[in-house]
Amino acid sequence: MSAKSSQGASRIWESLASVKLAVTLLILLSLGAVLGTVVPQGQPQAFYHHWASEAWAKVILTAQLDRVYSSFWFLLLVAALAVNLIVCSLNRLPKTLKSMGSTPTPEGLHLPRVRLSQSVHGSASPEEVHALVREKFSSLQGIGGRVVESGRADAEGERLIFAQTGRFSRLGAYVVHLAILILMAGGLATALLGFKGNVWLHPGQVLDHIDLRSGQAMPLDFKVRLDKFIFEKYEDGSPKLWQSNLSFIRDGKVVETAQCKVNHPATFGKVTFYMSSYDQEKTLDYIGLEVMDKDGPPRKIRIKNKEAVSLEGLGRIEILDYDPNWRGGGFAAKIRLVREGAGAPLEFWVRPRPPFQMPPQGPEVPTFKLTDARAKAGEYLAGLQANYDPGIWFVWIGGIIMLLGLVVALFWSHRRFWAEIGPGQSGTRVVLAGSTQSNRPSFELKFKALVKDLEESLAGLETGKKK
Amino acid sequence: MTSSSLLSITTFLYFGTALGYLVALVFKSPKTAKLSSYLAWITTAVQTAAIIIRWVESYHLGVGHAPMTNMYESLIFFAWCIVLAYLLLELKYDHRGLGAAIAPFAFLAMAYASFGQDTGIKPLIPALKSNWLIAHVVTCFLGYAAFAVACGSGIIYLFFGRDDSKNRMLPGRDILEEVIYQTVLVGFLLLTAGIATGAVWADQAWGTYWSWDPKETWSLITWFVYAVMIHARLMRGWRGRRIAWMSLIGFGTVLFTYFGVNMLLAGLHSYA
Ligand code: HEM
Repeated sequence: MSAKSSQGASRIWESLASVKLAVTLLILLSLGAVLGTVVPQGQPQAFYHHWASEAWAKVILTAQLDRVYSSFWFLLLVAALAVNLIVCSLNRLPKTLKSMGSTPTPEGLHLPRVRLSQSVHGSASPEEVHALVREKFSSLQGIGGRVVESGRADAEGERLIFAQTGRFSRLGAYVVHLAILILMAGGLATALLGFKGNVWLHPGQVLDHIDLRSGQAMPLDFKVRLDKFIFEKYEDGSPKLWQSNLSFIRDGKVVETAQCKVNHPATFGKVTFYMSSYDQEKTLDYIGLEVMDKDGPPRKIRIKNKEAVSLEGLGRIEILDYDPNWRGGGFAAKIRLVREGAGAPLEFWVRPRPPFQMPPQGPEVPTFKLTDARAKAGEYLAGLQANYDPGIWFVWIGGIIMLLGLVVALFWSHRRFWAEIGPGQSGTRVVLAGSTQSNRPSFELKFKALVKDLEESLAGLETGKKK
Repeated sequence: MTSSSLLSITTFLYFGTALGYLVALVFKSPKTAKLSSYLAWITTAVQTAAIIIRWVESYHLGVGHAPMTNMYESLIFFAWCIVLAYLLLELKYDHRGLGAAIAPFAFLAMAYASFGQDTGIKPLIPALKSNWLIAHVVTCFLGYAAFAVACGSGIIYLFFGRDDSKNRMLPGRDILEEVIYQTVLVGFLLLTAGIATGAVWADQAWGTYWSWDPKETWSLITWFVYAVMIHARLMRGWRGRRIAWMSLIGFGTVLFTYFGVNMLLAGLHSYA
């Protein structure tokens, strides 16, 4: 490789490792995530043509804004963040380990040039001051550290003391970043190795497969039966309990039973069943309609389910479908109108509120208004979600590791202190120096406090002597 | 006494507390600040009693559960967390001027709770019957409270950070910045725990630990914003006013996650 291209490669490596890239990616991911909460997700294409103008609908569909979180560009940003994290860690770990692991030897001890350093003067003898500083440094010392002293005074009569705290905290950030990678791996495991499906069961019904979200049917190596569905309500009518009593059957024998409730899923083999919703069978009895012709009083009619009604001068009407909550807007019925004489039969929804007809009908058709409907309540159906999700283990482990790493990274930092003690103009001079790998401002406060403490103690030594 | 009358008193007292701190800061009166501080402690005690009584009341109604299950109760808990976080800070740093920018948050949360929210004690719907509910709500709201304290300190920094230490009600600029950053770190840890407990709970309730529901998404955005702040300061040396601004922006995303999502976007999180 030529020098130039290796230089280019190292520049790419450096920028892949940079925190600038990390910050950029986090901002882009945030903006992308915002888009996903503004544009309704996962709707059929036609929805977006209604929701936005033609041009914007095109933008939304091309940029996959209808499914931001699985779009190519969002996943690309996540992947870039992962690469960024890995390269950054590989880049820094050796240096970190080196500076973390090194405790200077007495011979190798020297006063480094660091930003924080300050001289303190006292009139006590170097020996007394030395003992004092040593005592202070011992109490500074964190777990696993050791106060290091240069043995004898050097030519200028100066001696050095060194102490450090919180060395291990340097690994905290790496642990946090590792946890993020584990969580990403969990997401990948969920997406690639897991499955999710919905199951609707009548009491007594036995099931041997799951309808996956992808539309495929996945056979199970066992059977599951809904023995009983329990639905309890509070006095005020809000739901209190949904419970499915399930039996798991292998080779014709019930091998396990479980009570599956919300927040208490039931697992058998690889598959976990979650109580996710319920439905009630409704058989329609009849609907009431008001037919408003252009002239004449409105006519009220009642149509029984599965029976057609003939209206004079208009034609035959029958019920095709009924929905107690059609498109979330209350009850509605779909009817077919076979007109006398001319025209193909018309099929449309009728509602109690305007717009009364969906889709709207032409002027040749009178307005139909749905006035009432009666449905007989049938038995409850249990809606279960059936999952296999290996990703949840990654989430558990990643979450715990991340919290541990955060505690270490955020509340400790690797701090090093040096003191050089030697003769000064008016007795003894101490040069204190300190450095930290993170959180400099709070370290500066701590360092100032140390200087002040030392000054006061030195003054204390003097007044003690004068007495 | 019923919990609701005690909570009305709490709202009223927080108004007094916030006003007291403001007066103390504007007129540089340590005495007023000290009084406000006492008032804050007393109010917190009253509010703690109110929360406990509400808890007991729910058992008398036969629907016993911790009072953290709707918008009203969460706002009250939020106010409680904010004041508690602030008072702990005050114990540590002993600069009472910050209360002027933080206590109003607690008052506003209480005021919002008492006007415009359903105050009834409701039985728990099945999805909320989980021990994870408590873990999730407590970690999230303690985190939000830490961010509120950071934001209040940020506001003070932006207003008073220029004329360093002229006002003895306030810590010096360096310490103020340190307060902002350290409380953000605490909040970040708690928010992380809140998101994690929420994910575990969602997995148990619905079988999906992350479903990109708007509230989840906004909590992640909040998390990203504070992660940016931490890295910007740690590795890119952001200081002072920038950090103060970041604490405001961060709290803006917290507020949107808490209120904006409910008002503007629909999702799984029924209340908070
Ligand atoms: C959501 C994603 C991220 C989170 C939550 C996160 C979190 C953290 C935390 C908590 C720290 C420790 C702060 C401290 O020591 O006080 C840290 C440090 C750091 N982060 Fe990240 N980080 C993220 C992404 C990244 C990425 C993508 C990079 C890639 C360059 C990165 C680079 C660094 C570096 C270089 C440090 C300093 C390490 C040291 O002190 O030696 N971070 N991060």
